[in-house]
Amino acid sequence: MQSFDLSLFLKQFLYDPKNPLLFNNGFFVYFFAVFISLYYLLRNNNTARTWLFCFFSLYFFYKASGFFVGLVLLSAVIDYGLSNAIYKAREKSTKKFLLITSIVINLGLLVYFKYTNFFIALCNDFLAAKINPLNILLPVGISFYTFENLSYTVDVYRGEFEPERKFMNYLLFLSFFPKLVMGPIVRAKDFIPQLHKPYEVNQQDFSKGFYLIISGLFKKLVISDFLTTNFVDFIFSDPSRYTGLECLMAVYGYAIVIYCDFSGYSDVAIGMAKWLGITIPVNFKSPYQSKSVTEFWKRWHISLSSWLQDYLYIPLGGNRKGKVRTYINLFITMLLGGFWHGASWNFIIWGAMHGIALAMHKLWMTHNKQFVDRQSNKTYYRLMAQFVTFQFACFCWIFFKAVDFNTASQLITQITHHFSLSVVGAFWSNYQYVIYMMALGYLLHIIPDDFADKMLQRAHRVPMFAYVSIFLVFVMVYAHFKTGEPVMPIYLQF
Amino acid sequence: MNHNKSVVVFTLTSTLILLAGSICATIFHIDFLSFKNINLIADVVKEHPVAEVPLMVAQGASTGKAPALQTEQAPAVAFNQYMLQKTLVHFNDDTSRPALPMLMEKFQQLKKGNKAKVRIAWLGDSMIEGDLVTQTFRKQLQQVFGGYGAGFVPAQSVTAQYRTTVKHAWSGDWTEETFKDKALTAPLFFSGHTFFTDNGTITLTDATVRDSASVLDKYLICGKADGKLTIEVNGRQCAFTANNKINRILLDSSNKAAVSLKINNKKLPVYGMSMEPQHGVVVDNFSFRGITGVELSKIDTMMLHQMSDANDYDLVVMEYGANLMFRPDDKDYSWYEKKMEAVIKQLRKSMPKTEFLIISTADRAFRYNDVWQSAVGIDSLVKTQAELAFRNNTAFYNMYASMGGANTIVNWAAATPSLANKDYIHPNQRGAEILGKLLSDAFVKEYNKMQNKPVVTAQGPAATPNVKNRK
Repeated sequence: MQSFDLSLFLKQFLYDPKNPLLFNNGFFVYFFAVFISLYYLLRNNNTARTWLFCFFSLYFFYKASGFFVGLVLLSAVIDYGLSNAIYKAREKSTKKFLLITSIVINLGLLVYFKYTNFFIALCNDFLAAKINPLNILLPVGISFYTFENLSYTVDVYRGEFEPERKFMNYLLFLSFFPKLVMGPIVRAKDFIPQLHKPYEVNQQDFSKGFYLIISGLFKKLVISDFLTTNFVDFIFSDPSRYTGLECLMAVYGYAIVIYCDFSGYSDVAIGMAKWLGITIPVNFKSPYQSKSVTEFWKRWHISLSSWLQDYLYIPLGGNRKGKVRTYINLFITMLLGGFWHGASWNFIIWGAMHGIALAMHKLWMTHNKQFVDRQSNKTYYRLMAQFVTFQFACFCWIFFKAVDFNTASQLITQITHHFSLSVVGAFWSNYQYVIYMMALGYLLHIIPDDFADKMLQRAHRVPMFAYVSIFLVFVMVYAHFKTGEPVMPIYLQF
Repeated sequence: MNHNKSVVVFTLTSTLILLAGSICATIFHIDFLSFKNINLIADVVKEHPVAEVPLMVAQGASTGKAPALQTEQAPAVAFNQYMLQKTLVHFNDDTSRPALPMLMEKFQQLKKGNKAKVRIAWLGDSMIEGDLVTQTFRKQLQQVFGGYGAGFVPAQSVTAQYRTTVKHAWSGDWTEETFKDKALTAPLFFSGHTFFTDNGTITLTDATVRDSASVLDKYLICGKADGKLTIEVNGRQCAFTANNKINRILLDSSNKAAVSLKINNKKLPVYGMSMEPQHGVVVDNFSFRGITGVELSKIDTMMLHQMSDANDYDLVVMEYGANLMFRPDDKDYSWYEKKMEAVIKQLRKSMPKTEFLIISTADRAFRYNDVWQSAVGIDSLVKTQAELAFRNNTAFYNMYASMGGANTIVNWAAATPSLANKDYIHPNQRGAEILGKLLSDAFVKEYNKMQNKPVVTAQGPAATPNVKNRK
């Protein structure tokens, strides 16, 4: 027997730490339906629309992260106030003081919530201190909105634009719910001006938005989740139990998982923004097709790499202070970029490896630019360069995914010392669905953006019925994979 | 043209269709194409289930008392003891008497300072690979009753580099026969692996001995050799005899932690080596991944008799189960009961002077409706294993209940730092330490029954896995 339960219904409106709001929650379907209906009704009143959007975004924050929503409000108030004060201040020194205040507050909050326990562990390890770790929860999205706050105040300080006069517009820029959990990192100078425009969505925006939302959800909820649960997680959890072949495939599996996870979320955010009349720049451009690590960072998490370039690499001196300083600046930028991803030595190692690779590539290009230019159009060179770059990126992902350095080195040892093709048959028979899913992931990855655009240009003939049908088919596919028979580990090394 | 209306139309149409589908699915109990997983009203609908009580609710049994048994036919009261947490049970009505009395008697001799050796064989699957669980169990018992040494080490092991109790290296050309092979040229030992070489070397360094003055005996465990057996030990050629199906050849008895040997006898079945004290507790780890225990029927009966005659083992521990739950919905393990019963009877008959202990499966989870939960058949499997112990007059230890019961492995995998791997089968090093400590405490508790003293453990009170506190 089943019956409607009012208390359960009312509970749905409250934050549940065990079930925070994400795009795949049932609650989100209602949330978005109510929101878009009201948003449409208020389409001719920009101010009311902004208030509504702010309210729903903050409520999304609350449902995703509880009372940490107060932190977003607080940082919005502080940075709104400071940026206006920076703009109005006449003295350079006053502007600088206010900017430093903003940086200290923003980074202070980030460091406290994200890195306190890491530094406590460092003190305990190296200074033989006996400090107990603190019970600190990481507020959702803090890494992203901290960077957005910083770029905003720095841009105002640099005089690149006037600070926003309406507080609600600034609050919406920070709290815009589609990008809450995993970005992209949006720049105020790109975002806020769009809030002043009327709510317009052309045919191309609608179909592209639909494509990005469905493909993004598919990448994240089907491919990434399936590979994570059925293969990658248990192998990275204890690599010593698995053969070199399984470990190697888990690395390639994780490469597609992290791509589908990050880019899938970004695509959904960008697609949803398109439906709301806001354009957010593309965040991933088939990064595993890069021919160098430099190109990789122009295709991978573009909003982060461009942020690091504008607000870290260039302030450090960029390439303006000689070759050696350029290499050092690249290294420091990537090292800190790695640390931004998480409070662990593995992220620092991951960032350092990319930093060294970027510096080495710059050095290589300094001496071999003509050779590379001559070869770059040749197929063999392109394939070789793509292969090497992809392998390097995968190798670095080992440190990104592994819980600690010991686990990463165990996985590498299994690949280098316990690799045998004799287990291929058993591997295939147990993991064939995993392989199919990985292949599908890589296939989606290589679809060029302009190919999708060309296909979507024909979409004006597609009736609404077809859009709804495609969406429902996706929902059923998602439902199937949510409970499909799990792929269990086999232990090939008898 | 502005298509903002399309966004609203699309969203509302899709939502209404899904909502209508959810209401129909709920009212008419339809689960078309896994629809229940995306049911939009599932979170606001309350189930009124028909009363169905699980066989065993181990979570609530924190007091160590048996919860009420929920079976149609209640078995003998003594059998109910199998549900006890953190307790070795021997299904005696009188629980003041210790389980495994002969072993406890020998522990008492050690405590009195008598020069005895207690050797325990722990046969298991991948749960104890790399000396996990057993290394803690061994260390704890050795702290209480004396002894040192890593015990048995197979000639080769896929997890050798991760075993912390011994440094293990080998070289040369080796061939191998295992429990998984149909055609065998030599009898299999408890380890399930037999190795052959005509140019192989093994180097072992024990990492458990703390006192440099302690004399560590290093044995080669091998099968029968034709004629004189010549082996190079620490660079010196030594001659031995190996006339039995199973031979323990003392290679070196010194305070050195390391030994190396070279074997060039392709016909000699080599099982491994043992690092042990001259008296005290020895715990041998015999892990073989992927097995259920029925494979033990392949061990040569004559070999078992010879081990029994030589008083090699005081206790044989059998710990299996994870590989029996390979299908998420299995609940019937009667097929296993029949096969394993024969194995236990054969072992008991061949080794009459040895006591036996069956350890139940640990928790294992599957994903049911997108949520990781303990296998639905785990209560049934634990009961099956308990019945095997009960019928064969064998001691029993409920590992599943002791570690916390239902969903413990899920909580362990989610804990920070984690206590189990994300395969939801294997506890990691930290989790294995808890399991090893729980069992050694259970042994000490039984021993204390002989002393009529308050319970003491190796390191304070028995460890209780408290996942909440570990986060």
